[in-house]
Amino acid sequence: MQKVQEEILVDLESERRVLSGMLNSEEARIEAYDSIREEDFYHPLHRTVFSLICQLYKRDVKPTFAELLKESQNLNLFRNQQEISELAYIAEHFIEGENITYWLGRVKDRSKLRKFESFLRRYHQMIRENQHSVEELLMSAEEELTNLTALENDDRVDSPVQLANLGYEEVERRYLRFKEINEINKGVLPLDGLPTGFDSLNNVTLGYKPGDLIILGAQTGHGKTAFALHTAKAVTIEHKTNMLYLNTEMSRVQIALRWGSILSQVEHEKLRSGDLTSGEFSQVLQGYSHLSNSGFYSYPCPNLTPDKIVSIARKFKAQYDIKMLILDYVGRMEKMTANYAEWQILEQIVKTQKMLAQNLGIAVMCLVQLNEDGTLQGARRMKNECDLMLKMVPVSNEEIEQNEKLRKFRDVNYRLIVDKNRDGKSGIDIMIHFDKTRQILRDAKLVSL
Amino acid sequence: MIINLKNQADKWYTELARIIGTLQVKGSLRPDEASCLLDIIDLVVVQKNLELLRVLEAYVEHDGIPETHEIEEIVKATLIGTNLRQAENMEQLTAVLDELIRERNRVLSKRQEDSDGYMV
Repeated sequence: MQKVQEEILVDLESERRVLSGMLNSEEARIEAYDSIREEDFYHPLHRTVFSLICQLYKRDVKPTFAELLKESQNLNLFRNQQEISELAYIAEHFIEGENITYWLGRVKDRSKLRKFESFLRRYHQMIRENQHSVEELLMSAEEELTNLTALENDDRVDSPVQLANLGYEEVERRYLRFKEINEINKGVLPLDGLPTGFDSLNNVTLGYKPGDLIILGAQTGHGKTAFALHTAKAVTIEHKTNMLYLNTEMSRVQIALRWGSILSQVEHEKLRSGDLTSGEFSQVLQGYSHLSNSGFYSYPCPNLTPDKIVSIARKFKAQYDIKMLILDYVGRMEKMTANYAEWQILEQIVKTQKMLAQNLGIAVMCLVQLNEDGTLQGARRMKNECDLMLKMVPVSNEEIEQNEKLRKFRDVNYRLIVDKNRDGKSGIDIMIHFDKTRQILRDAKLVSL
Repeated sequence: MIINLKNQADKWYTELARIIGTLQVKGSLRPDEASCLLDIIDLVVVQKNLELLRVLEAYVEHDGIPETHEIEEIVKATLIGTNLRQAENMEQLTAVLDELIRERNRVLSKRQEDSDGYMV
């Protein structure tokens, strides 16, 4: 009877498969790290091995069998031959990465079943003790059972009291911070998220927040990458926060040279040709030292797919705790389904990015290409998904002459149109200056009175 | 698809790591010795560092004899004292090991010559 019960509640072979998959495939590590917990394993040794692999993975150390043994040695684990042999068995029976979902599902199911069994035992005991009213017992059992059946690991249901408390705490925190910063900084608005790199955009958005999907559209050759790297500079160099930058069309060298120009303010063309004065050369070196101390992680990847983005983002979230991801740019991504129309593909990509932002609690910025007339393909659907939609468009001299508002700025040559802003005002223009030769962007300066 | 380790090198790797781990829990290897050996098999089998393999093959060519014991201890201490996970240490390590092995072989040749002379 005991044996039958164990067979139903425990699946040691699936636990071994998950662990062997994690030892042998990065894809499996990413998937398992994100979707399963130590306590989902039944066997104590398997829990320990899972935890060790996760620790190595977080430190970006490939968890080979030898690494695992060394790590366990440092932590004084695995003190007998049987444990070492079990570990060797796990290491040599590996599964292909793509099967990991199946084995994870089996381990999770057994884990749920054990929780359910323990729930039944507990309530059986409570009924026998006869210390609670029937109503109390049923209500509490129903709540526990709902949590067990309907909700995934990270899901939660907020009761009215919890939600009200959360709202109160949030507003109180903001109120106090606003008051404090108002007194210290004489009215500069405190940010809620990561800096955008523009004071005026910071004021409108209060920064890029965890879970936000930001879409930035610009025509080809009109500063998409410059905008992305400008954002990266604000986030990773000035704000010292980690971010991942995915570029689908530029090489590592091209990205590095762009940074050189942005950080040293030396013309990009000079960097490319090498025609630099010794002063400029030293400026460039100094610029790169800022980059080397920053949290900017770059992943040039010409054949990017939505699935690959999710996988890379999860890895960098686990290993480097990134707070933002920039995808430069959507149009160059591999097509998932050849039969889909362009707008359907874009919609699918954008939906995936929104889910990614929410699941990982990071801000995701997608760069998209505007048509020649300034419109965006599939714009309405993209707008539905995103939290902030920006368009970067050039401002001509004729426009400046005709528009009084534009004439208030000394050096405006581009504007950011805030097409959608879920948390604030939209339909407004932000005047900026884009120095193409140095790849630098900033708020346009007002004409002094 | 479940795969038992398909290639021989992987099987050797797992078996060697298992033996090292077992010897350590039995107390036959010190933690620093076990750790060094585990690093070596990772380097040779997983990272395919053939240069280190070449040096180690040359090292184990001759069984330990009393005259070369001291050199062999230095080789062991050098291996244990080097952080094998840092790629920049490897070039220096192989140069030092090559030098020590040459010295050991010189001692062995001299011993052979002496022994041949005695025979004559």
